[in-house]
Amino acid sequence: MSLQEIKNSLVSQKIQILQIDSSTTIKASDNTICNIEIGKSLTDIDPFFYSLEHVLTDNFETIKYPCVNINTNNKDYIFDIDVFKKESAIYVLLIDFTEHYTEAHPLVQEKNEAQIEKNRLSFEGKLLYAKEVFKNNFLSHLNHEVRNPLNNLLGFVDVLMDTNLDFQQKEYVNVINKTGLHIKFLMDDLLDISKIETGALELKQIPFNLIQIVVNIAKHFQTKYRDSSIELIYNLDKKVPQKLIGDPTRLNQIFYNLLENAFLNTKEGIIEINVLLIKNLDKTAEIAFEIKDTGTGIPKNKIKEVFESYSQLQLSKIKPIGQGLGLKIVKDLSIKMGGNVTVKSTENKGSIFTVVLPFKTREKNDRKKTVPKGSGLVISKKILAIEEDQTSQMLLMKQFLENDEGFILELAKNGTQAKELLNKKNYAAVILKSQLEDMNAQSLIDYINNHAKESVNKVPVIVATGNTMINERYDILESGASAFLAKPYSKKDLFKILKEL
Amino acid sequence: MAHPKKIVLLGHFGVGKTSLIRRFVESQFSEDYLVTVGVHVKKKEISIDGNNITLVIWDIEGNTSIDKARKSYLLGTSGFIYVFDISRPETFESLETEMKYLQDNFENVPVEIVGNKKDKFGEAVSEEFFKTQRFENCTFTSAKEGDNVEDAFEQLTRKMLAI
Repeated sequence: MSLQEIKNSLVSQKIQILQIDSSTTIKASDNTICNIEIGKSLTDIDPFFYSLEHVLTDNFETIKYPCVNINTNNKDYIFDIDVFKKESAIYVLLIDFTEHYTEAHPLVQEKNEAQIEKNRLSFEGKLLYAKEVFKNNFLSHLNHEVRNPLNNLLGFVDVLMDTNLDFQQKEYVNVINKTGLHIKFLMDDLLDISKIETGALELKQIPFNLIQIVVNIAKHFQTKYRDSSIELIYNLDKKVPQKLIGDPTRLNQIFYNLLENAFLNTKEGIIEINVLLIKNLDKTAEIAFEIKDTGTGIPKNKIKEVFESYSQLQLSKIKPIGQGLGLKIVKDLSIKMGGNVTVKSTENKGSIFTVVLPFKTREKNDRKKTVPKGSGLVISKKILAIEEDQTSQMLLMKQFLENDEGFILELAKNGTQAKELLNKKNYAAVILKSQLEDMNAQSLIDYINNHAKESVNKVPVIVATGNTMINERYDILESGASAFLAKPYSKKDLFKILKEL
Repeated sequence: MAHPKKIVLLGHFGVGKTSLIRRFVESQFSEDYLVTVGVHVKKKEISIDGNNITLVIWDIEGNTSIDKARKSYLLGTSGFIYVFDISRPETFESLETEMKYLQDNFENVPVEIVGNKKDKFGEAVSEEFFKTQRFENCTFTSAKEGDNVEDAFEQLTRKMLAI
């Protein structure tokens, strides 16, 4: 048998040829693959062939239908079907690819299922991200809205405390003050989480001394819990470099939250702050901050959840919810600062929280001045505040009523009135909000800074606002304001800024 | 018998084209997804306003765009059903582009747009989302529960008969 003969024999087993007329009636068939009765219509074999009725026109030449599933004589086939014309006769080729397509089927199935799953995960990811953005925006706005009335509340409590109160009244005012401050701390915590998650929190890179941070925070907690049965001790490894560059405020915040958590969960015993050197490379050091307590410990099944804000909220049914957010902030800040936090705990014996952070190290006399200076130009004791809200006006008046510095308050209800006053009188400073009744803060700041009279263009501008996002602060300071006063602020905060200008 | 009408179901893979046909022709449904390779053709006779019509329904393999479908499959089509899955946005993201393609290449062929798996409304899918103008011409079906499946085929058949 020649090669050609072998080939022809193999091919013929896989191809069946039929001759049909233009109404799909079968004229002849070699029946190589399946038995097809002469005289019948192709449409009796499978409904697929109905489509030929449309295409068997006088001018058709060849049509190819790949991968057609046909069931005939109770058997499934997958054919590539070619229909062509030769010497005015119409022929149909049924090329049997059943084996080939059947083998490919699981691969296509797997590919499609994987693609559907991939798209599902991607969609869920996008949905989660959108929810997160919504949540953070909501928190940010809520924060802003709450800070304004809270500022008034705490401000008036401040004013009330300076009046003649009897013992019981003082107690009540103290409770109001503590509650107000608790809301403020809770708002700060929520805002911090929101800022870290949206990436709006920017870390400082400034020189600081590590021992000062550790000593100060230890002293703070020793004083705060001096009546408890807990001893707070600290150990600073001598190898740990003291002069560092980084963000001392955020390091303080990590310490604060970990220590607060340790004190809350410890009835008696010892709380230790251990500062250890992990790595000291050229100009960088990796330092471990360990907070060890002898408290209640964390059950094994809850240990993974301690850093999650929402689980904290659920777990802390017996505590005020604000206390549950500290560890979430520690985790987020540690990651943001390029480090990490871990916890080891034994129930009823205590916990060890370890934060490892990298810092740049510095030589002596590497310190830069970090506190921005004001204009120092105080030509008058008169302060112009622009405020349309009557309650806020009253609060400002009360705050200025008794001040040792001799500042005198003048009020304008909007930007237009402020401009009139600025043209008539000399002021030591202007206090305004980010949005005034008739214009935004930026317009008025521009007006003041570009004013022809030096007595106006040199007046320091303080923007007092509930927007405490760091980027918004930058925007305000970059817009030409001299200082930023975050609401809620106390009388002390306000006069501290005024004195610094 | 009147000339049979060819209907082709288009849309991404896994949107439920095979299930819709199975529900319409055989009144059956299976939860399992079995990929369609190539084309399966089914036949169903229906009666609309006293007219008996034979529908030849082409269940073709899913494609992310109609342009990728095998061209010979679409020859001689009397009506299209474009199916998307309400729970998978990627299956209706390009709805407008797909309709434009059909308009440009099959000018007088009617199209019925079907949002399948309506049984998932209220689960992870918001029904409100699909009440917007973008989806006003869509029929929402559930091959699983049989909702609106016959309606979708009948509405298309009426459009085909009106031409």
